[in-house]
Amino acid sequence: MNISSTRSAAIKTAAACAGALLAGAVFAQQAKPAAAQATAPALRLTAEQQALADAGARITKSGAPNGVTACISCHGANGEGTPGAGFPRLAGQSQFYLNRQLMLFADGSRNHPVMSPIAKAMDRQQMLQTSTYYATLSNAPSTAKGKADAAAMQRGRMLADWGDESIHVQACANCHGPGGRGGMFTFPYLAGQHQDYLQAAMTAWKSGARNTDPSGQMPVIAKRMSDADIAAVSAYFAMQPAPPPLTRSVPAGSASRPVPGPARAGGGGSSPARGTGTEQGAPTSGGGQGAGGGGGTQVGPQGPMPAK
Amino acid sequence: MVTRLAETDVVLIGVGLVGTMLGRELTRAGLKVVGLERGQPQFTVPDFQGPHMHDELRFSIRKALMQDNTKEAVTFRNNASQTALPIRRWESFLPGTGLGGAAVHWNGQTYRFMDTDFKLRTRTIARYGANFIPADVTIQDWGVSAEDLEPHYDRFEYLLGTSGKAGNVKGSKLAGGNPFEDPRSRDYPTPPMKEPYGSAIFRKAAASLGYSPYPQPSSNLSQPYTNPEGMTLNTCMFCGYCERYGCEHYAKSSPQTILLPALLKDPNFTLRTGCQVQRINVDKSGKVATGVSYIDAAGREFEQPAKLVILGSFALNNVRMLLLSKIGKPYDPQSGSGTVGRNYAYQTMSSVQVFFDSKVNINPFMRSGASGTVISDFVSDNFDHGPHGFIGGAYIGEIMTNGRPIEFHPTPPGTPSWGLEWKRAIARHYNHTAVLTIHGSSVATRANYLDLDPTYRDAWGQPLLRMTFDFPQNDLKMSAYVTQKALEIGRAMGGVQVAGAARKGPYTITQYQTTHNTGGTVMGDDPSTSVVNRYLQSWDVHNLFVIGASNFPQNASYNPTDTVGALAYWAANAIVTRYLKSPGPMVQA
Repeated sequence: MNISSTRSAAIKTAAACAGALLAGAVFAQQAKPAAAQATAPALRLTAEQQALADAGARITKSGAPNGVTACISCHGANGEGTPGAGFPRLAGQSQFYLNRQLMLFADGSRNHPVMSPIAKAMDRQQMLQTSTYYATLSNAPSTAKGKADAAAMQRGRMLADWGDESIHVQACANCHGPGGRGGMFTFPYLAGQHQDYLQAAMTAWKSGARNTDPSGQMPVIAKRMSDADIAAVSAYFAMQPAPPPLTRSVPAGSASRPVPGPARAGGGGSSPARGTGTEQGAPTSGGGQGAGGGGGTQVGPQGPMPAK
Repeated sequence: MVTRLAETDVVLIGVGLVGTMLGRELTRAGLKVVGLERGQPQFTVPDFQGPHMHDELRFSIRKALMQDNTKEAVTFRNNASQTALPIRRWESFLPGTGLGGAAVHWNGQTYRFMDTDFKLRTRTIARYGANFIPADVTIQDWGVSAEDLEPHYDRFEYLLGTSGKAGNVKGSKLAGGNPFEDPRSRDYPTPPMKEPYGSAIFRKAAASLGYSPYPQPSSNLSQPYTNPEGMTLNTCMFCGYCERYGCEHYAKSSPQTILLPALLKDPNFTLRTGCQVQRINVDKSGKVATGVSYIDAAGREFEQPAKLVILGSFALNNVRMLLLSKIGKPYDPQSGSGTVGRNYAYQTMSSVQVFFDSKVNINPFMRSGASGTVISDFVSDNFDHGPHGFIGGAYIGEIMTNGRPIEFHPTPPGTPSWGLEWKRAIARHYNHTAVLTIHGSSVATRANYLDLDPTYRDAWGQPLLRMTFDFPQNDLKMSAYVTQKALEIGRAMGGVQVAGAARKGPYTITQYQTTHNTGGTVMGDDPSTSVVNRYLQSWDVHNLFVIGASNFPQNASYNPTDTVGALAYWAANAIVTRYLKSPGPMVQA
């Protein structure tokens, strides 16, 4: 195991668990012009993932004999979707999210006159294949356009980034990432998504027609928003550049997201076991008391001073 | 120059959990209430929103939501032979500040104390004999029972929307809940949180050893819930930023999500933030409070006259306010006389780390402040203390609250505390370590107390509170016994390596343990050993009510917030139904 891979794995581990760090990284990307997306480095996929994506590509272009029609007729040749027709952009959306939506369409939890029959026709492997393919796409043009006046854009931005205490709606960014560029792998990106799709999705959450959020957050949030708020936030997100595909779609353990190797056994040190967080596993001793046997709070640079 | 304001019916010192609850109850009774909060106003939007709310350096390390100890610290010493020094950076405990108080940054762990806790002295003597209580241990009864408080616990939990599973409803035992709990009138308002993987491993191991695991009652909610105040809370998203943080999702029960918006709409309520109360004023007789004096954020001095004063700040600050106001007799450890500052207690914490094979993915980041599974087999008097020679107990739980990158660095014993090997060990163990918490009781002793510091003063020139505390031998014995049980569970969980040790003395304020500081204005039936009566009314000043964990005569095994909330409703009920009709002492001394 080389050191650099350990470090990068550790960084990824930390990033995966810390919204703040992830958000920071995404913020940095946001500063790039949209044109830079085309030159974003391609994802490194395992052979297995590549095979899934290749198979998915074939289905999206040509469909499959078991009643699966080609995805591109609605979702575009590069997963860019069809603005005005309600077909969402899929390029770079997380594999987990897309795969889950297909399963929800298939089992009737989510419904759409065009999508539902196609999803019902797909087998589980085909769902995984198409989801993987779309998750890897990075060259879809950002075609979404928001239509709203300046006041509505301002309102949309406020809801997206800050929320509104008067209606008890928190920022979309809490889950969907700063700028709506996706949060973890369970939360879809919203930036660059088509306004009409977003608006329809929010309306479906509000009416209860869509009720597939295991946390129950989306129905509560949508019900608190007026139709004007829904239009405003949809327009705002549609105006934002769509994010490039994220490695969050790639499972840990693959070539592009290696897991750390074992540490060398026995450090030879005699320091106390420590590092169990804050209110979990409170330390049993510390400060100038010398080694404690239990967990200690690791507080980084401000940690306990050594005994004098 | 002091500006004397128009008299109000009620003044609240502190607008945290207690202040908000009392404000709501008393405005509802038709009274005009002024709430004085020393900190800033803060609300879910915009103050608690991501991504800035997940700034671990700012909130966990630099303690952004806590009392500003450059202005107002606490001095500390282990015993009376030492000279206390100010705590310059909060570590062991974290007094909150600002609108909503500590209930903004709490974890949401919501337990009821037991009847055996409320009658600790009587029950201990009855079961084990008077000689069982060590001479220096000053435990006493609360003057209330679990039955007295049940309706108030119930009401408070339904205000919070607490997610849990009852173990005893009106005397019928229910499988899956806490089998040791006293009867509750109904189940929790919302079902328990989802069980994280590490907790599931704990559940299996604890059950295999014959214990009774149950889901930790959580006030980070498992599903959307609308409380009787009409406030709707959302579902917890398991982001792992509860303790030391405000919740961005409206999912944690805090004054901001359960009550404040309703209170702020009430025309009888006035909120003033940035107001540092200097003292409670009393009339010449010393028996009646006339209001409070405070200094606002611009340095202007005000007197706010009031007919009724509610002191509902953080436990330590409740004690200090009485001492600064010269209400009640300060406790003297030499003679054992006096009551204000007496029976300060804490919580006796320890932990066990279970290091797994790297195939076992614990995902510590996918947690919540109060998710997890616990056992109460070693809580309070749920087991026979006879052979062990100590009072009290602890719950054991896999209740990890976070995997935050700065704070969560599990490494096995023997790992260097810095450098390459340390980093490698963290990368290896970060996702493969479960932590068990042993959350133990704390007896009051003659030597542990709070008073005013003779040397150090706050930014307004007032003496700081001085804490004199060390772990009583009783509690270290308790910790040794229960931590051993936790180590056995840890081994049964299948860890490759299990590390942990009981709490050892001396107590240090340089590492986080818990913010469960209790006592100093304790409640009881005897004015010579308590500051307030069973209705939390000052024995000395009948129109002053002191409410908070400072009322606890000693601390129990469980987390205190549920009991603070129940006591707040208990006191509010007594004020509204009895005191207002005939103001005066509700219990004759």
